[in-house]
Amino acid sequence: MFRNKGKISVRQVMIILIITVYTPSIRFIARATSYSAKQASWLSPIIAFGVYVIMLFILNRFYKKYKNKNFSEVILDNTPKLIGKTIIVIYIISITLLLVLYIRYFGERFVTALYPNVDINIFIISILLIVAFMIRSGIVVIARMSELMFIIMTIIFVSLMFIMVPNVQLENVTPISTLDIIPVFKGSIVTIALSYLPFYFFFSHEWSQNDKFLKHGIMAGLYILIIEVLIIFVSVGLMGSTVISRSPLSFFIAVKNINLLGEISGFESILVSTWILTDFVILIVYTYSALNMIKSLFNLGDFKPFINIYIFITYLLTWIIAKNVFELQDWGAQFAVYMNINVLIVIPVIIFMIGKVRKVV
Amino acid sequence: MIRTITLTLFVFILYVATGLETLVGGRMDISDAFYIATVGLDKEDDEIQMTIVTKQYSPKEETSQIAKQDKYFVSVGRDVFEAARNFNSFMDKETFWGHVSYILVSENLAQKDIDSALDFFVRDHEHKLTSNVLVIKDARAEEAIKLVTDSGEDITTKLKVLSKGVGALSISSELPLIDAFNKINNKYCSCYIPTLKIVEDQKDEPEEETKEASNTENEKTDEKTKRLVLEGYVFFDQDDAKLLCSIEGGTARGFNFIINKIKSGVIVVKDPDGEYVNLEIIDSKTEIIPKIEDDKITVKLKTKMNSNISEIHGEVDIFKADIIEGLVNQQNDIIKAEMQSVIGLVKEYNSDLFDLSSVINHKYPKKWDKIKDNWREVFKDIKFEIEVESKINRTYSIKKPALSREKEKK
Repeated sequence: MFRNKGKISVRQVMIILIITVYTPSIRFIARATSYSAKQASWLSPIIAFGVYVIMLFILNRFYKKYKNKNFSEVILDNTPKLIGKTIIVIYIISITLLLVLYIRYFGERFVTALYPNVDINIFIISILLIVAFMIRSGIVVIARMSELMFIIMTIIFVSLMFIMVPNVQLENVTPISTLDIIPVFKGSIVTIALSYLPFYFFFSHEWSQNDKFLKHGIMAGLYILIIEVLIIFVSVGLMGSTVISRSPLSFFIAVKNINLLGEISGFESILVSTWILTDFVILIVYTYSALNMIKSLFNLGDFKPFINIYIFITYLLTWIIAKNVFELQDWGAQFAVYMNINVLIVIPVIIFMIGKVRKVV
Repeated sequence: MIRTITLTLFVFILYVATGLETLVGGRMDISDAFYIATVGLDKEDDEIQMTIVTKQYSPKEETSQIAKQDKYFVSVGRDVFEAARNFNSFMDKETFWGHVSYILVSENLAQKDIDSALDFFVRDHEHKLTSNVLVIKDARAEEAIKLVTDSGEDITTKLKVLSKGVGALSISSELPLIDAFNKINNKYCSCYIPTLKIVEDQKDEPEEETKEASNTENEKTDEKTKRLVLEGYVFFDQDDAKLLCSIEGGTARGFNFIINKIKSGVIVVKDPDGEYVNLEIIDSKTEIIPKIEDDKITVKLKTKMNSNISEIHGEVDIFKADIIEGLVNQQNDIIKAEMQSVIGLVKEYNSDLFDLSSVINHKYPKKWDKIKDNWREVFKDIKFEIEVESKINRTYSIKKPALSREKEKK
């Protein structure tokens, strides 16, 4: 019904959110959380879930108050024009840097885990060309495609968990004591940094309106919580926190270690297939969101003329951002995580508080 | 449409501009690869010698599960990776490392460099982390590989058979690469790796009559036959991963009792007449119970074990409560002695051989947090107590001994 109007449902937005959180989760949350919280790292997503729920209530107020308007309009409505525009610029820079990071990681995953002798450009250019093509189809097509990928992703994830969970060594994920409270909070920083929902509010004018934002939002949050807890739990439970905290592709090596019935292995190839699918979704959605921000900033009628140039700039930035994967990892851990927390949590909360003071929201 | 055509042309031109080189390198035809199944590592002066055993398949043979005879190759390099790469300088096929099942490290190499010997196998993307690690005791890995391969046997299959059979005596076990790596990384406990050794079978001197008859045969074959035996463990220091000590026989089984790796085994006790009674271990479970009182740690190793009577040599009807109790006591003493010998080593080397640190961490996480930095100092004052509670549950098809005759009533 809504699709005919060229809009996507809140349910589809939440599916996009799940997919876009899943893809960085399988890459690094087991490593990042176990580095701080060690055997208790699997509890870190619970803290992130609490933060997510708070954000959900704040965003719900924006969603209800600013019907058919996007987050750029919300920012400009709540702040003076110059500050508002500056905040949008900050968002454009942030999402572009994040997009660049994900593009580079998309290629790095392949050359680290599967094809070390292949030029990384083959993977990066291929995915960017497909993104450039697909993005012209609009958010409705992207959302429908995401629904299909969500089903595939879920089936593969559940199958992997079905094989992996029975082999978890409980001594690797215990003991849990009050000593773990601070490490778990420290570990949760990276999971909090994956609360990507505010980015999708930059195309919220293309969402259909209904009263189920909170319901779908909490369901998506629970889904993400379960996925993240399981990813960390099986990774650390199978390999131990020492190995996981040192591996650049932590969940991947846990999957690589599966040996079903002592004979069948090679399950990592199944995981790789979900990587490609979910990475594609994250790249296309971020690009779409970034272009919407640019459109709002310059009051443009359409962003399509900017697609190619924007993607070309992101490609160039992919090579400027880091010389090698070590720099990329440092950049991600020391900058991107905190940048995300600022733009995804701090700024929306500040705007909400300004709105509250001005009695706008 | 025009855009699609333009883009396709653009991609095509890009592809042609590369000189039509293969874009995705690293592809390997199944018939052009040597599938490495077992790797042996030795120290050769300051270099690493790598011996690889390959199993060559052609597509047709793979489907019909017929493998050609194994081949082994030897290469030397400054480190493991260089030695691995040097194979490409003389082998007529590419090497594929994704099928490695066993990594054999000579004791000489393991002495100081077990961490760097295994690093390549953990780090490299092609390797499985489930490959088993073994240390070759008192011999070179190359020697062990040659011994089996030259006799026409497949060493990988041989090692698999030995690994499966080791449970019958429980004097060794399997250790996947990832577990070995985890233990080497753990600064609070010692790493153990199962050992493989070459045993020379001592032939009895034949009697005069048979001596002449077998002379011709003996000329063709060696006097002594050698075979591989999977038995015991070596331990590595928790601080610097240097080789600490090795165990075998009863001590190795005692270690397996402590770390709960007992699958089966034989315990020999004596009946009241001094004749042997063989007991088959059915199961065993050891609980490591630490207790901290006034900052002093005592550890109780509480073992519960069940066995069945599998062989009786004497004539006495042993199925009486008091005799069974006597056998159980002997059984308890044997297990206790085997476990005690491990505790002796623990004390001698002041090293946490069976991951007691993890047990204390799980039971007293807060106390552990205080003592962990000083663990080795604390460890040497720990008192150990062993408690064995075993049962002899049953025998099998026949109850009474073969020589147990009914006494005639007068």
